[in-house]
Amino acid sequence: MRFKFILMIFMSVSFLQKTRAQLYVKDILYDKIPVSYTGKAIDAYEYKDNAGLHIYLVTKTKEERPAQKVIITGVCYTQTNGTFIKDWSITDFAFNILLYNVNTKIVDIDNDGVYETVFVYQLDPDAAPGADWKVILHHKNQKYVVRAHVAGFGMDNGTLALDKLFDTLPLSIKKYAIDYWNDIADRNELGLSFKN
Amino acid sequence: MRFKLAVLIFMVLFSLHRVSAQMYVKDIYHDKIPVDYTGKLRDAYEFIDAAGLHLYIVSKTEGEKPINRISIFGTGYTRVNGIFVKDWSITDFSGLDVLLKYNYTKVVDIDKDGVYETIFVYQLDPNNGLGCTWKLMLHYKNKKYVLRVHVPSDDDDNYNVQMDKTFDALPKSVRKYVIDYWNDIAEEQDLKGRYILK
Repeated sequence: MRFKFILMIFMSVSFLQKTRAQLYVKDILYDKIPVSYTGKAIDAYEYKDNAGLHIYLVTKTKEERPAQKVIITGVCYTQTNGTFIKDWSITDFAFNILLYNVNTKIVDIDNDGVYETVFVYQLDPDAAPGADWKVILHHKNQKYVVRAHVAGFGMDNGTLALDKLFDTLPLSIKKYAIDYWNDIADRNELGLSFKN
Repeated sequence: MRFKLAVLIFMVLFSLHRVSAQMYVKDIYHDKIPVDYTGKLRDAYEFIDAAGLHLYIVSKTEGEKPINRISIFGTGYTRVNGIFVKDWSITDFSGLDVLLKYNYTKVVDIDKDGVYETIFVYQLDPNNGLGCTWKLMLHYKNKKYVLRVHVPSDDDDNYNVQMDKTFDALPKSVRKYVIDYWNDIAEEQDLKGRYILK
């Protein structure tokens, strides 16, 4: 009797753990990525939320001709009837682009059971006039961008701007984007952050 | 009987799953850091491996007197009897700047011996127009191995890569990992006069 009782508790605990695990985020950069892509995968997550099973993927392609160019593409998919359908995609290019993938966040900021995605990249990191940074946030498949221009050595001041669209977002998400940028600015010592 | 056996197998498998999850690496940069550090925090990880619970911390100070010196401090700790004891520490400085490239930090068990290696990368004198120096610090069993790279401001200047001689004493897999990792960084950063290590 006691054995069965212990067993029941054990099974309930593991069942509860499973239930909680229904929403999940999993880094799949070193696994098989279930969608086709060109170039090199530099950031990849699989995640599940109330809107279904999703794939977030960023790839990088280098072109040497006619001029050196690095292209990054960010794509998000949702699984529908067994196939992954594209929800959104973004493309950017420059002489060089660095994705700071340790800063990538797949997170439910507004607690609605659907994950937001946030990633950040730097364009032309070593360019003498300075570098541009972009934070790309997706909320319900709509893009919101934070743009920063960090001035080069001995150049003018930098600039920092939020898309106007940010004002249409829940305040918690706008605040998250501001804090996210301020953390990037701090860790990379850019001296360019939003004031409170 | 068969039922009990099935349950037992299930429970054993479940515990095994737990055991394999005991090794972990956790970014604690935004958490409370359980040790004191000098200056401003720049990077922090907690990790558990076969040698115990460890911390890796990097911090930085600016504007030291009498000269305006910028210093970086890296430290590794292991918890012994509830106290974090220092395993290794490094210090470096510059009169211009030292920038930790935190996105290149790795806590990884390269040679699969159940003990994590740490790698961190920083740039001395970045963006000053005269070239800069990159350093990659590997700690393997609490011993330091350094890769130093001088990147020139233009292609005429010399591109210089120095690997500590002690690298030769490392397991081949670890040495290869460091070389490949540096080459990836040089490629990704599009470093001028890029030099491919063999």
